[in-house]
Amino acid sequence: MKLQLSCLLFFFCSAVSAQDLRQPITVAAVPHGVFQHFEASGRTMMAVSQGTVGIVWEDNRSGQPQIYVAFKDRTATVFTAPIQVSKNGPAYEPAIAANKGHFIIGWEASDHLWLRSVSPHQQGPVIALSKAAAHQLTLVATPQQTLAAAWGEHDGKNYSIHTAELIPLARSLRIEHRRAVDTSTDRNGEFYPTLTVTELGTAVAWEDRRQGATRIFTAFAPAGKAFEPYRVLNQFRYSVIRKYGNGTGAMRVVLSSDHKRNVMAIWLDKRDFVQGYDVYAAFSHDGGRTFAKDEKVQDPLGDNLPQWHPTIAMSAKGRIAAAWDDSRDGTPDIWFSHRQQQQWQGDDVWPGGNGAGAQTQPVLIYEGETLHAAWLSQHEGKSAILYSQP
Amino acid sequence: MRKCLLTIIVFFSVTLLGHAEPPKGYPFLGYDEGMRLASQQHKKIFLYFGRYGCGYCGKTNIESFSDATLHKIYPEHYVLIYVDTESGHRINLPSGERISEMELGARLNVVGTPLFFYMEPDGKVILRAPGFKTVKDFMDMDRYVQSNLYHKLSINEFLKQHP
Repeated sequence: MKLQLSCLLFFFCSAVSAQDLRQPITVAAVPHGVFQHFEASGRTMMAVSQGTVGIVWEDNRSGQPQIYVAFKDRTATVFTAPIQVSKNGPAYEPAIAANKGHFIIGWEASDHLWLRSVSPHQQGPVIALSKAAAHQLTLVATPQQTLAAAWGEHDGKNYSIHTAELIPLARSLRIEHRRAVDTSTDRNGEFYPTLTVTELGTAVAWEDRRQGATRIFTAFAPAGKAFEPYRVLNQFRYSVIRKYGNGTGAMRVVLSSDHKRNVMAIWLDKRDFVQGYDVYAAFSHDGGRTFAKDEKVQDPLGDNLPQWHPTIAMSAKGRIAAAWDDSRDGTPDIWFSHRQQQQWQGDDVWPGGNGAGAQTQPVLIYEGETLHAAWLSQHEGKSAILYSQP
Repeated sequence: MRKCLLTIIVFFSVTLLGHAEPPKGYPFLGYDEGMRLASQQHKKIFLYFGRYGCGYCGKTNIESFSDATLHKIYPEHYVLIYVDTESGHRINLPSGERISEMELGARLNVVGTPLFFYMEPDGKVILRAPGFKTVKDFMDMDRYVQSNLYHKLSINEFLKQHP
């Protein structure tokens, strides 16, 4: 009888938690005059591992921009109080990744990039990642028990994309296999990298300006081997006045994978140049070495206005969810779509992802087959980072 | 010699036509410096949203901003600011909030480029002008903004009354 009661109580609590988590939970809220930023390269501001969710952001509550993280247990309905991760000077654009319960947070400060192992209970030493001026860090988990980083580092002439493997230690981490992704000689500005690691190797994508307009480039390194030459990912159009310009632009690419061989890329694309950026995506069956034809993600109701801040997540079983923000209902709301049978479904909003004020900057991640979402909510001068399991 | 000349011509063609940057020879500033200067000097702002590789930005720069009169009066009448709609460069809004140039484009609903804003010295938008503009367009918009009649009249009403 006691066991039955316990089972019933457990089931009831689980059901309530699951239901509650569809409604937004506040990760961190700040008053008027304090500004939160939720904007890492590759949109890697949330990580989930062994039942713990970690979310990073930047705000100026201390008088200057600093990096904060909050954690919560998978079924809990509250996050820990914000934990300050950065130490000195203004700090920007934090990223987070986790593997086997080990969370690594990185950020930019003093024109360099820094890493730190952080848990709800302790923080490791701050370690320099970059060797020269660097920015736009992104972090991901790998199928092995490690993490991987990509970032832009100045080579004396311009920024180029670098990657490294991060090996978690007891309270710290070790950086290995630091390397440049693209060693071609016509580099002319590489920005906003994103990467994913599968059983086949490492795929990296970034914004590239060498062709005179911003394009999405990718490069693939088979497991244990060097990066292959870059490829151009996005299609583009030239202006009708061909003698001017170099074609339409694309930006802010994000990669996600099932960690086996399937990779999906998503980005903002200006090919329909009179109605702002659209959300486009492309699928890869070979770990990101090659991608199939571009797919428009948003439905026709979102076609006549610009989309912003796209992101994508793929589960271990190949479920794919994309999110972005646009103002089709008058104010910026979070919209999302699922890709089923190689088709993007109609756009939808999740509870709390729409309404008064601006709901923007979504982040998605799958843990198993559970989708976790976070975003920035701003209304009447106040802002909050929100979280749910839509 | 011919080869050298050809190289120089090709270089300048690519420089001029390939990059949608602010027009050459104009004192365009970054957002922060421009906003600060406009506030200090109490001078109106001409904000140019461009995109790297944008065809109509290149057309505007070459066909319109090459005009000698525009070249003279725009720097006199305005603090000139250029913003790259795809850039992650950090800027500070008058509110104290720090965002990127791309975010400024998102907040101001920049759908296409070029897009020109005429603003009060405090950043309040007077006029929003999307797309390629001729020299006459720029002269007309300047007359409208400098007249201060925008408090009472739309630009179409102004141009009807002051052709």
